[in-house]
Amino acid sequence: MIFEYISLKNYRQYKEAKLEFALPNKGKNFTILQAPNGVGKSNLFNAINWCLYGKELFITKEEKRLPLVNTISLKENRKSEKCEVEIELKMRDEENKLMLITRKQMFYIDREGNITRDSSNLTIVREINHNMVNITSEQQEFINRNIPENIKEYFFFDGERLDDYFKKEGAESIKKAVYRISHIEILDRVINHLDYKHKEILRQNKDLTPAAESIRLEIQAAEEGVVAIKKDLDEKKTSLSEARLNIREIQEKRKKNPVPNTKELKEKREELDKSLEEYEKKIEEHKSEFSNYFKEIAPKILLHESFINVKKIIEDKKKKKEMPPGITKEYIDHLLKSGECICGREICSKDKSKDKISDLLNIYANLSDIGNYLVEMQGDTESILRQVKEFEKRYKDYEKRLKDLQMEFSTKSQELKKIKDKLSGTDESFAILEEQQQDLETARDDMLLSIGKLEGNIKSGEDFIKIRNKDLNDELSKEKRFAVLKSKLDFYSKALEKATNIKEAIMKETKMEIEDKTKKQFFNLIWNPTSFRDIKIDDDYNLSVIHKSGLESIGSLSAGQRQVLALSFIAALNSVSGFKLPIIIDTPLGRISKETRLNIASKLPEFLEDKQVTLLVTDEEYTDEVRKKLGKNVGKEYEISLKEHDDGAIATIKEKK
Amino acid sequence: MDEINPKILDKLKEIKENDMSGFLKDIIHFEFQNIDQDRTLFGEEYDKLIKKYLGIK
Repeated sequence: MIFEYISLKNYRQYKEAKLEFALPNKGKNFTILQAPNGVGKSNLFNAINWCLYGKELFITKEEKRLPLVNTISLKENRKSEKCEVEIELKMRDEENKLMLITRKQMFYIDREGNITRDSSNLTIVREINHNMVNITSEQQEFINRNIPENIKEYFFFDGERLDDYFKKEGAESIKKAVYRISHIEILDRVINHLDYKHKEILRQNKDLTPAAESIRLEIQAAEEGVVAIKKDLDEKKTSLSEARLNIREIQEKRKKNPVPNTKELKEKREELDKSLEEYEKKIEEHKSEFSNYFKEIAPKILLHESFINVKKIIEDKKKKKEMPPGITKEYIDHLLKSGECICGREICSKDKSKDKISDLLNIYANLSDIGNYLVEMQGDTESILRQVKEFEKRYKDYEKRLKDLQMEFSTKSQELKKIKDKLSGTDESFAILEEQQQDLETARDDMLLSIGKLEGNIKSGEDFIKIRNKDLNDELSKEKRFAVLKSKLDFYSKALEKATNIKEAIMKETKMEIEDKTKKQFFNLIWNPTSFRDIKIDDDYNLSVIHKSGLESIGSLSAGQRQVLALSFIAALNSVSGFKLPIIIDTPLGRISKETRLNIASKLPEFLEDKQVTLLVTDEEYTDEVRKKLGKNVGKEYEISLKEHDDGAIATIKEKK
Repeated sequence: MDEINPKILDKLKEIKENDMSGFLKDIIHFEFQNIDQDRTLFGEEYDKLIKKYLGIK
């Protein structure tokens, strides 16, 4: 399908405009529509949608308040009190046959300014055997067969809403579209109806034997049980998708914050708290140790001079040989008692020798005591003096050690403060996010377990039903009167089995095809392919991007990378859809950096080479460099300008030559 | 698409039993034509087709 032109009359800001699309031949398949935001680019897509389906999809709140009809035209037509909106879309199908679709709607304005309207009117003219034929019946069905309404995901890419592709609603919408396009939904209907008919035949037959009826009731109960479990399973799978999505969103929020892992920081904080406690203790112990030492040494320091004097006296006495005394009092006493002097002479009281020696005893008695004491003290005195001498060094050592401990304490305190600041700046919100993520991950794991169990129960139920169906079959075979009933049941059973197999095969093939094409396109388009390992799409059409480390990384993709992923996905859907529809991309390069923009722009033509592509771009996106990259692929280039008037606005489409 | 997804038709061709593939083809076409209808009289159509393919009067 190719669009040749669209013409707009009195539609929103387009009073009268026509846009011819570049035709995808000779490589010039791009049409560029350039305009600032708010001028009306997106309304061109709305115009196409309205023409085909009578609906507008992307209307701003402001525009919703306004009627579809151009307000200036309406005012100009006040005399006639009516104004018609018309959109005409000329297309060619894959066989190059012409199709002209026109939708018109009359609007009325009364004297009070109240606006009413008729229903819109659709005209379809189609080329059949070189004749232009009006299609007058089942018009909407005709359009839906050629351009299904609910597959906008296949050909309209809104750069402003790209995140929708990675959300649950986006995935659901895509899955529905895929089911519709590949006719899986038709197979679903076939399966449901076959199943219904199979049960209905048995239910309606009132002639079953009691044994057959009993088995039938058992099967019915088992089927109801399986249906209930399947419903539970669907709910669990939905919850699982939501949990996964919420986890991704939290990961994204946390990614935006420069604080890395709150858990690590908290652990470090605890470690530092403990370490600081230990340092405080060490400092206290060190001080206490020195304090005890000081208590001991202080008196000695205070008496330092006295001890020096004592030492001097002792040394003096020693020099004079007064110390230690040469003779002890015990020896003198012994001499007196023995009555014999050292020289051997008798000590007697007749001469003065005994008195002399007794005097000596008195003198030496005192001297001995003092002398012995001083001799003993000499060692201690010298020891005290040494200790006092050491005090200076020990004090210096004490101070140095204390300083070192205090410095280490201070360093760790600062480190702790930084961590506390980081944790408090992000605050509770990050601690909360981290907790939420952990809770979600736990819930996700529990759900996976539950899902496994439910799937097991379903399998058991279905196996039981199979067995009982066989038993029922055997029971019915016993009597000839059930031959027709049995043949119908068998036929429906086989048809059901075949239809189910076909459905599963188509689902699997379609999903794999989309996955393979998305992956191929992504790795072809992305500028850093070695960073990623794989692209996966699950059964619910949720996208996953596997990082080279093996981890899911869709939540960590940059805006540019997400753009590429969404583009790849949409191109894959477009390719697999079986519909060769034009692609319209609104603001494709809007939210990304300059380099990324140029990367995508350089690869887009190759990526969309055989498709008719319309890009709706802003001035900021469509820089000279981007224009250069796309240049040789651009067949038509337009500029949209908007002029405001008192009663409304008029947009003009002008071709740039 | 103006016609059934060709992949489905290919799968039907793989069914060896002609009556089964014929029956499924007919009901799939019926469902395709009535896809946009809210309610279809599928019951009657299915009864009619099963009688046809089983040779029941």
